[in-house]
Amino acid sequence: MEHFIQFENVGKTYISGEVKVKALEHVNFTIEKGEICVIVGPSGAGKTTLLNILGGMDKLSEGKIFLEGTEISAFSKRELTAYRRHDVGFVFQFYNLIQNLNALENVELASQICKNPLDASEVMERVGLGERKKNFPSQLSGGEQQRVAIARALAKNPKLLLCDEPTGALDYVTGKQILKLLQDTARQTKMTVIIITHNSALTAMADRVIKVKNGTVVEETRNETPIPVEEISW
Amino acid sequence: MIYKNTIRQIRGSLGRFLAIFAIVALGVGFFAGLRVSEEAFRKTGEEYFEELKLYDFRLVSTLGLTEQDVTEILKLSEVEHAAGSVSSDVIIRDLDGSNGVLHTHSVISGINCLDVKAGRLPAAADECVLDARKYSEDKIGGYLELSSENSEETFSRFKYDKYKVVGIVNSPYYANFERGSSSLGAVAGFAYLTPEGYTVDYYTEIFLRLKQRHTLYSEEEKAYSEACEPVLEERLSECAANRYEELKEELKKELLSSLPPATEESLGQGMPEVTIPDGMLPEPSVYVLGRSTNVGYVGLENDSGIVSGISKVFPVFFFIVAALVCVTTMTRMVEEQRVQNGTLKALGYSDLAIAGQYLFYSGSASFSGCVAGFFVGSRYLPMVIWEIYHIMYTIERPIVYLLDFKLFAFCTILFLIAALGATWFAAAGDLREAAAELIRPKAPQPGKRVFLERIDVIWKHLKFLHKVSIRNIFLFKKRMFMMIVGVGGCTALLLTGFGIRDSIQPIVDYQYNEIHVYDLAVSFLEPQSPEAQERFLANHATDIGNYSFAHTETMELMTNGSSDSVLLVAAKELGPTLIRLQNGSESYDWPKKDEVILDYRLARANDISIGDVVEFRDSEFHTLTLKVVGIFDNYIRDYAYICEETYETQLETELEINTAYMNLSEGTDATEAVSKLLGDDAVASVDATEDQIEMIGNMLSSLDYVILIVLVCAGALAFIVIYNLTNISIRERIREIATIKVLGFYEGETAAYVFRENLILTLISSLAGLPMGVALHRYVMAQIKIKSMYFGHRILPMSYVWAPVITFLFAVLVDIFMYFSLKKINMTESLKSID
Repeated sequence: MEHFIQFENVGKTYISGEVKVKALEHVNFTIEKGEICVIVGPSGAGKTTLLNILGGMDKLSEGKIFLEGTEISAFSKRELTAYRRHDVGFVFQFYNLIQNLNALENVELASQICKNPLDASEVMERVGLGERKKNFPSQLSGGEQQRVAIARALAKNPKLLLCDEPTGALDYVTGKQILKLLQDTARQTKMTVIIITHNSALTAMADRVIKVKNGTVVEETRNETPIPVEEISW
Repeated sequence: MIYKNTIRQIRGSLGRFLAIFAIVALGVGFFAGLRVSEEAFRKTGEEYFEELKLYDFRLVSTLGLTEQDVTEILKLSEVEHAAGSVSSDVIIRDLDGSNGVLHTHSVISGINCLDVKAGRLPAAADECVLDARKYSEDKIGGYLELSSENSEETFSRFKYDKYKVVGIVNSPYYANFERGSSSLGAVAGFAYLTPEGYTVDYYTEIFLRLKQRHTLYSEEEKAYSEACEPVLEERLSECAANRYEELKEELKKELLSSLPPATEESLGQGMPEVTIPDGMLPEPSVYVLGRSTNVGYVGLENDSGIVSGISKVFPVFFFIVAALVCVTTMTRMVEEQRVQNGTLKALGYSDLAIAGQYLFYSGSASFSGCVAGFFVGSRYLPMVIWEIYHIMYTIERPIVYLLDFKLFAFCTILFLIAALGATWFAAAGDLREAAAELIRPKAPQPGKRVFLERIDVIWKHLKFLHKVSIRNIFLFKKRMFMMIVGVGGCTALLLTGFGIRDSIQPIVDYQYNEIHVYDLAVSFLEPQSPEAQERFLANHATDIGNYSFAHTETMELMTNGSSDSVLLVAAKELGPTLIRLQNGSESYDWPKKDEVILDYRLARANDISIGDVVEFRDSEFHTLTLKVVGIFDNYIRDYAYICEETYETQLETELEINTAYMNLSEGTDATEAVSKLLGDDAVASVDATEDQIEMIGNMLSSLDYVILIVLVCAGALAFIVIYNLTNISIRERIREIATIKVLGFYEGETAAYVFRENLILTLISSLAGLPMGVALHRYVMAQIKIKSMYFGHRILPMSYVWAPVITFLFAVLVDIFMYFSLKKINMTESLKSID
C-alpha cells in the first residue's frame, strides 16, 4: 500500500575532516495523508535532521524517502528547490521573517512564487492577523510573528507543513494558541502537518507519534483518539 | 589563547583580510609611488647633470671674451672651473637637398661634457659630432657640409667647409628635445667641433661651474646662484671694459695706418687724435645667464612638478575608501562574533583584550598592505611615469630607484590610524554592551518605510521583489554611503581618465585644423625682397593657393625671473584661411601698432591678461614692448602675433621677410609641392602641418599610459569596494537568504534578490560620481603643465556614457564572483536555532 510519506532505512552521517557524526541511522516510518504527526525526542536526538531531510533542505546518506510515491531523496538540487517551493511549508522556531518586509509582504513573498497559492490577505485573516498586515516584524509580538510564519507557510498551499519547535520561543498561552491553529488547519484543510517538539505532553494532540532517540526511531504509534489542544495542559 | 583565536580567524576569513590588505596597498602604493616619482625625477636629473658637469653660468659679452678673461674668472673664489667656448649657428646642407640650421659649439673640457652614444669625440680640427636626437648612427663616417647659403661672415668663422662625422652624442646643455630657433631659421639640432675647427680667436661665451654643489632645484641652489651673480657680473664687466679698451686701441692703430703719412710739422704738434666713427665699435653689453635660462633644466623641474600635483589627489580617495572598508569590515566581524565576545567578557577578559583581537587583525592587514604597497609603488610607478616623460628628454638613463623611508613611516602611520581608528570605532560600540546582552542575538534593524512608498503611483506598479530591494538600499545607510564614495569614486576616476584622453588627443586636430589652418610654412634662407617674393610666387604659381609673407623669429617673453620662448610672427594681416586667432567663438582682429596677440598658455603661465604690457627680447637682446589686446586659444607651442609696423618702429629696422604661409591649390600633391619648394634655392626648409601632426601624435601616444594607469586604478578600487560590500551584505543577511532558499527560491532568483540592490546602488553611485569626475578632471588637467602644450579640459559625451557603463561591468563581475559563494550557503547551518 502506498503511504503518503515513507522513510526507508534512512541514515545521515556528517563528516567533518576526520570526524564522523551519525545523526540518523536505520530510520523507518510512514505517515498518512491528512495526519497530524508529532515527532518527539530529547535534544540532539536527530529530530531536526529528520525534518530537514524531509523538507528537502538536506540530503540523506543512506536509504530512501518517498512522498506520494515519488522518491524525493533522489531529487537533483533544482528538483529539491521546486519541491520546497510548491510542496512544502516550513515553520521555524525563530520565525525567520524578513525584517524589511511587513507582515503581508512576508506572506506574499512565499505565495508569489508557487503554483497554486492561496490569497495572502485571506490567509492572514485566517490566522487572526487581519489588523496587522502592514506592520513590520519588529512591531509584532512573538506569537504574532509566528502566526505570520504559519500564514506564510499556508499561503503556499503545500502538501506538507513542517514545524520545527514552533512554540519553542513562546509562552504557554501563546504556544497553545499556535498549536490550536495548526491543529485546526490540519483538520479543516486535510493538510499533513508534522510537528517536532521535545515536549512529550503534546503527543496527545497527534494522530501519529514518532519517538526518536539517539538518531533512530524507537517507537511509532498511531493515536486513534487525538485530543484538541485546548484540553491539554502541561 | 586569545591570540591563537585571532590567528585562526585570519586564516578562516582570508577574503576579508585580503580586502583590507589590498585597499591599503593600493592607497599607499599610489601615494608613495607618485610622491617618490617627483623626487626620483629630480635625482635622476641631478645625477645626469652632475655626471656630465652641466654649467652653472654662461657669461656672454657682445665683444667676445679671451683666455685672459677665463683666467680672471677663475680667480674668483666661488668659481671651481671655467672654460671658454665658441658657438656659432650655421646652415648646413642635408642629404635630401634641404637646408637645416644647427647650433654648433666647441668641445670644452670639464663642463657640459658630452655623452657619446656611438663613435667618439672629435679629435682633429675637421671632425665633428652630431645631435643624437636628430641623427642616427649611420651618419658616422659621413660629412657635415656647410651650405653655400651661409653669409661670408659665418663662413669665415669656420676653418673648413665640411667636417667628418665621428660620433653622435647627447649634451646636457640640450637635455630637452627643444632646439629652438635662430636668426637663420628653425634649428634642427646641434653639432660639436674641436676649438681648432673654428678660426675665431675669441670666445663667444665662458661657461663656469661653482664650487658649492646643492640639491637640484632646491632653494639653496637658487639662493647660491643669486648670490654669485653680482660678483660674476662685476668681474665680467671689468673684462668686457678691458677688452673694449684693447679693441679701441687696435682699431685706432688700424685707422692711423690708413691715414696719410704724418709730416714733420704735424708730428711736432703731438700724436694725431683718431676718433672712431660712430657704430664701428659699440660699447659692450654683458650677460650673466644662469641655469634658469636653459630650457632642458627648467623643463625637467616643471615636469617633476606635474607629478607631484597629481599625487595630491588620487591617494585621498584611497585613504577615504580604505577607512570605510575597514569600518564596515570590522563592524561586520565584531557583530558576527557577538556571542563569542560576550562569552569572553563573561570569562573576565578586559575590553582592551577583546578589542585587541580586532585591532591586531586590521592592524596586521594594513601594515602588510603598507609594506607591499610602498615597495611595489615606489618601484613601478616612477618607472612608468618616467617612460612617459623620457621621450621629451635626452637623459638616457633609467630612473633612480628611491626608497624614502620617511615617506614610508608617514604613509604607514596615516593608514594605520585609519584602519585602527575605524576598527576601534566599530568594536567600541559593541563592547560597551553588557556581557549578557552580547550573548543574546542582536535585535535586527527594524524595517522602515521608504520615502518612495508614499508616492503611490510609482510604488504600486513596482514589482514586489523590487520593493524589497529599494527598502533595503535605504535602510543600510552606512553601506549606501560607502557605495557612493567607492563606486562613485571609481566612475569619477574613469571619467577623469577618459577626460584626460579627450582633452589631449584632439589638440593636434584643433591646432592644425582650427587654428593654424595653413598647409605649409616655408622658411627662406635670406630675407626676401619684394622682387624675390614675386619670383618665388611665379615659380610655384600652380601649387600655391593663397599665401602671406611674414617675419618669424624666436623671442623670449620676459617675465619676473624666467623667460618663455615664443615664436613671434610679424606680418601684415594673415587671413582666416591661414591662421584663426580666436577666443572661444570670438575672433580677434589683427593687432595694430605696438599691440600683440598671444596664446592662452603663455598668458596663463605668466599671469598675463588683456591690457597688460609685456616685453619680448630677441637673440641679440633687443626688446619689444607691447600691449596685449588678445589671448587666443592655442594648444601646441607658443605664438605671438604683431603687425609689421610694430616690428619696424620698435626695432628700428626693415622687416625681413623670412617666412611664407600658404595653402596648396586644389589638386596639388603635397609631397611633390614640398620637394619642388625645397629645390628652390631661396628656400631653407618647409614645414608641412601633416608632418607636425604625425610627430606630435607619436609623442602624445605615450600619454595613453597615464590613462591606462588611471583605468586600472579605478577598476581595482571598484572591485574592492563592491566585493567588500557584497561580502558583508551577504554575511549580514545570511539568515534571510537561507530563509528564501527554504521558501523555494531557485538559485537565479536568490542571486537576483541579493544582487538587485547591489546593481541599483551601483547605478545610483555611478551617476553621482559623474560630477565628481568632472571636478577631478579639471583639477588634474590644471596640474598637467607640459611646457609648450596646453590641453584645456574637454570631456566628450561618449565618455560620460563609458564611465558608468564600465563601472557597472565591474559590479557585474563581482556579482558573478559572489554568486558562487551564494550557492554555498547551507540552509540548515544558517538557520540553526540558538539552542
